[in-house]
Amino acid sequence: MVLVALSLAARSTVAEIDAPDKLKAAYILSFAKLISWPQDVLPSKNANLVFCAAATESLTNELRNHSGKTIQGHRVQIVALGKRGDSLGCHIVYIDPQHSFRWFERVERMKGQLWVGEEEGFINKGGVINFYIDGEKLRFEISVEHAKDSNLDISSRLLNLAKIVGNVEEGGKQ
Amino acid sequence: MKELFNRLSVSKKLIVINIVVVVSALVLATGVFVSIERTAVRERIINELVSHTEVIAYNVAASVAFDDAVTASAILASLQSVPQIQESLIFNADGDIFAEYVAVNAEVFSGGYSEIKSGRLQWPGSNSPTVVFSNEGIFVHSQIELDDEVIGSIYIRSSLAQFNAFKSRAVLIVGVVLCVTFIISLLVLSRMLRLVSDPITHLKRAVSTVRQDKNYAVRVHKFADDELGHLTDAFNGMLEELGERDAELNRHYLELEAEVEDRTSELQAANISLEETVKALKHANRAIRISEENKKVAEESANSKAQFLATMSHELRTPMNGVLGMLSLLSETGLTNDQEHYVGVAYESGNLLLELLNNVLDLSKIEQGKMVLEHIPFDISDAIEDVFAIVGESAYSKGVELAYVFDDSLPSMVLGDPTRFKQLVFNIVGNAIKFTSRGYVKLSYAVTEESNDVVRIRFEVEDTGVGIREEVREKIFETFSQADSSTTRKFGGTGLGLTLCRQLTHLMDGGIGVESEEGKGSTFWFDVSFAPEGPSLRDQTLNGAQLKPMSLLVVDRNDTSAAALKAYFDHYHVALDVVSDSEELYSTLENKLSSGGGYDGLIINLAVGFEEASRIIVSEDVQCCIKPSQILLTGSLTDRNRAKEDKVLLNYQFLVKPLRRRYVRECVLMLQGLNEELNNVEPIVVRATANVKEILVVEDNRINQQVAQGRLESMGFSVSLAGNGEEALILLEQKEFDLVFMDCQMPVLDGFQATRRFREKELAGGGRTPVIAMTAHVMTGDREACMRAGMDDYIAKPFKTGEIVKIIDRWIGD
Repeated sequence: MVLVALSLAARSTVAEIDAPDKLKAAYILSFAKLISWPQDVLPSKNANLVFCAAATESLTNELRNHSGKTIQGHRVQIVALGKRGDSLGCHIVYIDPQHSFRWFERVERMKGQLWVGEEEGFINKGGVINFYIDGEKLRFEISVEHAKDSNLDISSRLLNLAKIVGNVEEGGKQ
Repeated sequence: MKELFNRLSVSKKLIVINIVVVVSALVLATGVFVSIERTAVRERIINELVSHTEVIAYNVAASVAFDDAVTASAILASLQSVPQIQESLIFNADGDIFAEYVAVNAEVFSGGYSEIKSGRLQWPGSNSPTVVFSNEGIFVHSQIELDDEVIGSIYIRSSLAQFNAFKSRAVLIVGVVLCVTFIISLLVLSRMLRLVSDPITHLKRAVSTVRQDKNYAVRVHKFADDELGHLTDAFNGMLEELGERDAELNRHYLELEAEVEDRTSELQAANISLEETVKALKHANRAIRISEENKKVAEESANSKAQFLATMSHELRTPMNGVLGMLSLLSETGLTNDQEHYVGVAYESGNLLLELLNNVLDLSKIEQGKMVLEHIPFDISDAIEDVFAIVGESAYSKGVELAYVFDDSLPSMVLGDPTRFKQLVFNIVGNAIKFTSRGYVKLSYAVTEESNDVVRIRFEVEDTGVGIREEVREKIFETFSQADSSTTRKFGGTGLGLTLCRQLTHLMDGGIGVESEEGKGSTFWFDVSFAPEGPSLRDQTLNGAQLKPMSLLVVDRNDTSAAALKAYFDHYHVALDVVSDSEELYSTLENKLSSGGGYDGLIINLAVGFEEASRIIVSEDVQCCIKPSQILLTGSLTDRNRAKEDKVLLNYQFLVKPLRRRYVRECVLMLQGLNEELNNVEPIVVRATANVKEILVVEDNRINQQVAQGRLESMGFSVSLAGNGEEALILLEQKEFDLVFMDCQMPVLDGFQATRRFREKELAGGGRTPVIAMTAHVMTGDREACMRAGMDDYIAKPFKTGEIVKIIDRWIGD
């Protein structure tokens, strides 16, 4: 784990994420499996787990392929946010770089929302998980702090795979 | 194995038994324990491995999900802490190897995962991992899931090191436990066995002490109150008893010893006296032996004397026969009266001698037990009449009436020996006649016992002779004894006759005796037994229906004679009126005639005198009323011969005395008009037949040859002679004979063999010439031997003319 952290830390983040949308969608779905939402956000099993995508049509469609699946007992629901900045009712919000500038200006991260993005400084803008490319591989970084702020409990298994970043200063957390 | 066990001592047996039990129990227990433990250990190892697998699976799930092989490998590397895990593979959802771990010290495993997977590892339907436990290792395959979604799988191969370690540990533990238990049980057993073996050892030692030292004072300590304790008690009790017995025995032994000593000294004394006695006895014994030898010698000599006597008598008979035969031939050659008288005396003397010899022979036969009685049917009356015919003349010539009181109510056919019976009657009647000079001799008999098996008849011969003094009555039956030695001179006789009679009656299971009054006569009686045979005489009697009732008038002065006559005629239902003289005759006849009856005949006993008889016959009273054919004369043969010379009596029928049933029967038939003439005299000389018959006499003895030749030639036969069998066979080949007389005992070739050969030759030629055996031994066996040899009949030597005639009639008569 330490080694992984070190190796991740050694790499510089790249602005352009060039990875297939399909993989990204699968990753996003897997994040949902390893994160616990607070009780008030997902009160019962009947509640849908809502994925909101402020992203390209391609990615949104990839996500939609997973629609109807069950994660942690909740049905997966995909919602395309488009240019709308209203994220009420979303449990996971994916924001791609094309939308982020507008998004962050208007929207405040709500409790119980996992913000996933793929641009440098996304964490600093308030995101929880951010994709980046390490060599050829799609990797991600997580802000534990932001997660806590959003009352999200991230599984250590996920943390082990991620680059953990602080809120202000960048770099590996020892 | 079993023999080996048997040879062990009791304690060793117990040890063996205990150890076998303990060890087998232990082995069983540890076996069960180990197997249970093994299962548990296996379970544990598997569980451990599965949990390792599951932990890894859980931990790598995210790595798989996010395709982080590096992290996954790092996680797998954590398996280093579990040394038995040799290898681990992680597969992604597509089944490609995602991460791999191989232990540093991994054993080379030939079969790879793929092989195992294709063969044994299956994707299970449920979530539980698949485990394969094999000799090659333990294989676990488990799914990797993330939030219930299968995203890959993990495979772990573990070595059996842990399990092997357990196995060796288990073996070690079991071995140690067994060894320790074995040793402990041995120790405990050897301690505890003493409780059992010690009493036994003690007992054994005590027994050997008793046996070796004969020390009955030994006692065995009782260890416990169990079976062994009881055995010990019993043994002690037994020892006590044995000790007492031993002591008693000892005491007895001492007493005995003392007694033996006493006795020994007594015995020594006795011994000395005994030795003396023995010496005396030896002397006595020698004397006894000598006397026994003497006795033996005496017996042997007596025996040989008897044998000698028998042989001599037999040998003497042959020349005697010659003498007698020649004398009888001589008497027929026309001699002067003087010469005839001399020849007669010589003949009588010879006859007496022959009789004596015969008696001696018979007596010695009986005494040697060689006499065997025959057992053939015969008629008692016939036998008696035969004897009377022989002795009759001697009685009538003396004027003694001889009467046989015939009794037809008695059985007459019996089984017995007729020859010996006749001999018996002959001797007794002859004896009675000999000692009677006037009066009568009368034989009567009565059955004293009759059953299915035996007929006992008592005969009585009454005479009016000299009688026998009382003191010599028994002696007369002894050998060579007569009432008075002077008697011999007066009456002649050998004195052997009665002795022979007594022996014969004994042989016939009877007895003999005499009642007598000196001067008035004697009554000899004897009884003999026969076996019954055939019906009694009465059944053979003429049928009464055939006969008219008759009555006859008899002139007879002798009561005895009249009684005998009456007895015979009674048998044919003929009534007799007896008168003693002519006066009485006439009056009886008149009475009869006046009463309207008549007599069917008249019998006159010539004893009344020839003149008297003639007078009666020619008297008017008789002539008027009785036909000449109805008048019969009776008397002896001599009387008959004399009557033939009488002018008057010549013409009348004659009834010869002694009477015979046959004569009487013919007489009755004649009087009934059924038979014309009485022919009651047997022809003594047979007239020569028309064709001269050829007879061969085979006889080695010259005298006998001549006697036979003389007899046969006088009968008109042509006689050839042969000296032995060889000569006979030669003659028989040359010429054909009508009859052969063959002596049995001959030199060169005896009669039996000669006959046998002759018969063989005859078989070829056909025809059969009768061969008659001539033998001096008239024994049953001889006759059978003759028949076997092929002879047809036999004749006893010396032959009598009558017998020769019979034989010739039988075989070559017309």
